[in-house]
Amino acid sequence: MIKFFTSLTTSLWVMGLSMIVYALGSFLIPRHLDIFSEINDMPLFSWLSANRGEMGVSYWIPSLMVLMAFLAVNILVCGYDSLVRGLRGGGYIETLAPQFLHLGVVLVLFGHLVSASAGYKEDVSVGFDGPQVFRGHRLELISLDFLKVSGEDSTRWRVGLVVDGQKAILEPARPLFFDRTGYFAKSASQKKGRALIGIVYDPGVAWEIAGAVLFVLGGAGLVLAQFRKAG
Amino acid sequence: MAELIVILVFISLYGLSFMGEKTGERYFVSAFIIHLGYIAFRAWFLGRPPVTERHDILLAIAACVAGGLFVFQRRIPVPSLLKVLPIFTVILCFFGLFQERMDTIEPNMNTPWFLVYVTLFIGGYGLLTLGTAAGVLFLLEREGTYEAVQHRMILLGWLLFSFSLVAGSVWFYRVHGVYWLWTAKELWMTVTWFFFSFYLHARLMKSLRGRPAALIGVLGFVVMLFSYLGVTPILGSPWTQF
Repeated sequence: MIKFFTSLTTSLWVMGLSMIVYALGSFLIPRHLDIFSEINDMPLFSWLSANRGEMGVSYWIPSLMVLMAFLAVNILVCGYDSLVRGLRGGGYIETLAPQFLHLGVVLVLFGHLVSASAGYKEDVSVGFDGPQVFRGHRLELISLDFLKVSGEDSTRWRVGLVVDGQKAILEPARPLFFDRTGYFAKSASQKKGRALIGIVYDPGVAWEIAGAVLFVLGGAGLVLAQFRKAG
Repeated sequence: MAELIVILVFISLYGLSFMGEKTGERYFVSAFIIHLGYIAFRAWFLGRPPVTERHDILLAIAACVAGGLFVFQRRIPVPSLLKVLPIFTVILCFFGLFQERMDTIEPNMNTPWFLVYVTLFIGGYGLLTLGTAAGVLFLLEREGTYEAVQHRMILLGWLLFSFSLVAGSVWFYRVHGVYWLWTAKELWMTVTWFFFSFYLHARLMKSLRGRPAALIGVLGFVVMLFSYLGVTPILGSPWTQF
């Protein structure tokens, strides 16, 4: 069994099958938008449970999960095996860098799993008509500024928001992170004096970041090893 | 119109670089200089790095590929490089030529994370294409050095591409509060990532090392081109500016 998981052939088969399933999904999503329209608006497991009757077109998602789980086990077992063999042979960077990369991928996959199983993302429209309470958080719009900059087609805008007493200025791509929740400036209407705020609680993000950091470190190590090899 | 003529001029010069060793090199270098000039003009015209739309991104990737002539001269003879580099450069420039130009930038793209993401993406795709070119040369001439160059370029390109996915996820998370979307486009970016991972692992197997692995690496170019340009029109994924 251990031999099966340390085999490179197993990794290649899992990667090959994963590519086929991802490609299959890419063909199915645009053809069944009626079913997949809400998949990005809620945690994956909630969506799967709400669309239990649509397994005829969403079967590839559970298949993908099984393949990714298989890949994670393959990576961990293979990584441990090469670590033990590699460290005996010396060359720390050459041995550790790929393992950092692999562990990073496993953490990213785990982060996806955590994100799929918990959390929420919803949009809330806030105006100057008083504070709103959303999932126990008190939101109050205090300012809405619009600015036209030459050379830019769209008007720049920013939102002054108070969240549970915390004052912040939100802009597109400049969110507020407070109390493990993200507040994102989605859109704003000057005419209506309202802003659409995306509120996201995603417990998988920390794992994703940890995985990405490990991956980048491993990648940098691999580049270093390549340059050393090239002399 | 003037810009179109300039692009057609350097595409034609790249195309003409198949002619003989010395003449070909002169054509290629001239094309490269005009190509870089056009990118510099775009940067001046837009007042920012020209990396926010497909037209500019494809031309930047093509410039990275053309730059391979100067980087690899010591390891691969110029006549051999001139057999493959113009083909890939022309393909990329040709696709870039037909992309719609907006010349505008959305406020959410005007951030350092977006710039990092696209720059790494350009570098990654450029190196992956250079790897493909070296792979084609290896398949044609069976020279071991070319296979080693293919592997190194694809490894570095795959790393840059992976880093770009990390930076892109951070940027997307800061804009929309999600780092991953279930769309055909994202799924194909993942397929591309897996495809080159597949190549890197396949090359470690004795039975696949050499021509089979080189062929897999070369096929990667088709996958990456499809995932960047083919998914939206063919599969009907939502359109993106970049």
